[in-house]
Amino acid sequence: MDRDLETKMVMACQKGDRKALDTLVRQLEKPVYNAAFRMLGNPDEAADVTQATFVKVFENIQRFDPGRRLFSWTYRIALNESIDQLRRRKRTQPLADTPRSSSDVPQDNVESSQLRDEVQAALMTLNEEQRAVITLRYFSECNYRDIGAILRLPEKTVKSRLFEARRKMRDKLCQHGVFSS
Amino acid sequence: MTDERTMQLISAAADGELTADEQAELEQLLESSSEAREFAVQLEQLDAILCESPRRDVPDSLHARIVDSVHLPGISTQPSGHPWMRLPDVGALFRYGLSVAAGVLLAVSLYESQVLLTGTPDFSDLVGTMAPDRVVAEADIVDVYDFRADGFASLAQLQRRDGNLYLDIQIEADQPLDVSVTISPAGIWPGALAQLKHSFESIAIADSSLKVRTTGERRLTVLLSRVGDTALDNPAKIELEFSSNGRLLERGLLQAAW
Repeated sequence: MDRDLETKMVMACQKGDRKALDTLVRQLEKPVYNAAFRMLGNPDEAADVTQATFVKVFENIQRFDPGRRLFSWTYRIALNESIDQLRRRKRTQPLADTPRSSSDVPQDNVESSQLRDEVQAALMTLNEEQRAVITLRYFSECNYRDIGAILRLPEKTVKSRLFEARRKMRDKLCQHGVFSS
Repeated sequence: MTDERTMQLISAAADGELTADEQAELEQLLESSSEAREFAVQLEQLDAILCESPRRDVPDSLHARIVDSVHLPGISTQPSGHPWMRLPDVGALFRYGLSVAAGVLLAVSLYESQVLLTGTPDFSDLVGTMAPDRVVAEADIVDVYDFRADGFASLAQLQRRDGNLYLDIQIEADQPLDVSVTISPAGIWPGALAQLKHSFESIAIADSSLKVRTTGERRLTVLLSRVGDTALDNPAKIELEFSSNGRLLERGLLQAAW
């Protein structure tokens, strides 16, 4: 959705237009759900966080400045909701929906599926801040500037967090023999 | 052991965020260090795995859950099955040289659910069955114009539904508001209209244009008709003009490909 149309949709929502609401939710729900899933590693919690995110976004839509990007604001809320959910859990747990056995995955995809599971497990070992930058960079396709805008960080900090996150993931994958160390 | 600086450069390179100087520096470092090359390869693999990770589909019920749980303020624009009023093909009338300069001034006193057709409705084929409510197809919003001024608010949308374009205008006005709609290119005209939430004080229709005057909360939906392939190459343009007591308040434009 281009920026002009997004702005118009936001303004329509501010006037109570549920059709515009439907369009905006449809546009953003998949990336938001995927970002929440990568943060949480659990599809049910990701769905709850996605719902809570949109409720918060549209509860406050009257105060939203249509000149800003809705996706930045929405991602920010989604990541904060995910972090709150992680804190409620009190402990970080490995990917909850990984019990995808080779029986429900085509045989020729088993290897890549296991690799993805290893990567997701490595992602879950990162702290919240590092996981947020990896999620935005890879699963929401944001650049440094977007990530900085969403997390309200200078681009330099985004760069160093991404570096630390990658190094940690790489070390974890080396430990599990995915990469040779 | 690869040093911190080299690893940082490799990481930034994966994001395409290196300056030309940094790129040159990294190339030199990679040339001189097998460890740095190995680290670069590993990050490249990690990058590829992360990029290729499939995106999960949203659970089936989630969209409805979200939309149902959100409350929006203000007026609602749920699609409605209100009756359509067929308008004459004024474009064709024009082509035959007939003036419709005065337009069709409709002293509208429609009740909300009353059907009004031009001419006498033909009931000859009706066999006495009560039809269920027509299911209104979901419309895609293709363009939106939002007008707000002191004492006035209007939301105009161009919608696509079932291969047709519709112009939907909602108005809230504390005092008489004139809305003028001009449709182009030639060959497109307001083919039918439905008005919801009470009638307008006046509606005037001429070739490719429509003027309404109203006070209070009103809604009007116009089905756009076209001659042949008109507007297949050029987008339909809807010029809007909002004025009150002869004073122009705002002009706006909606457009969409057919």
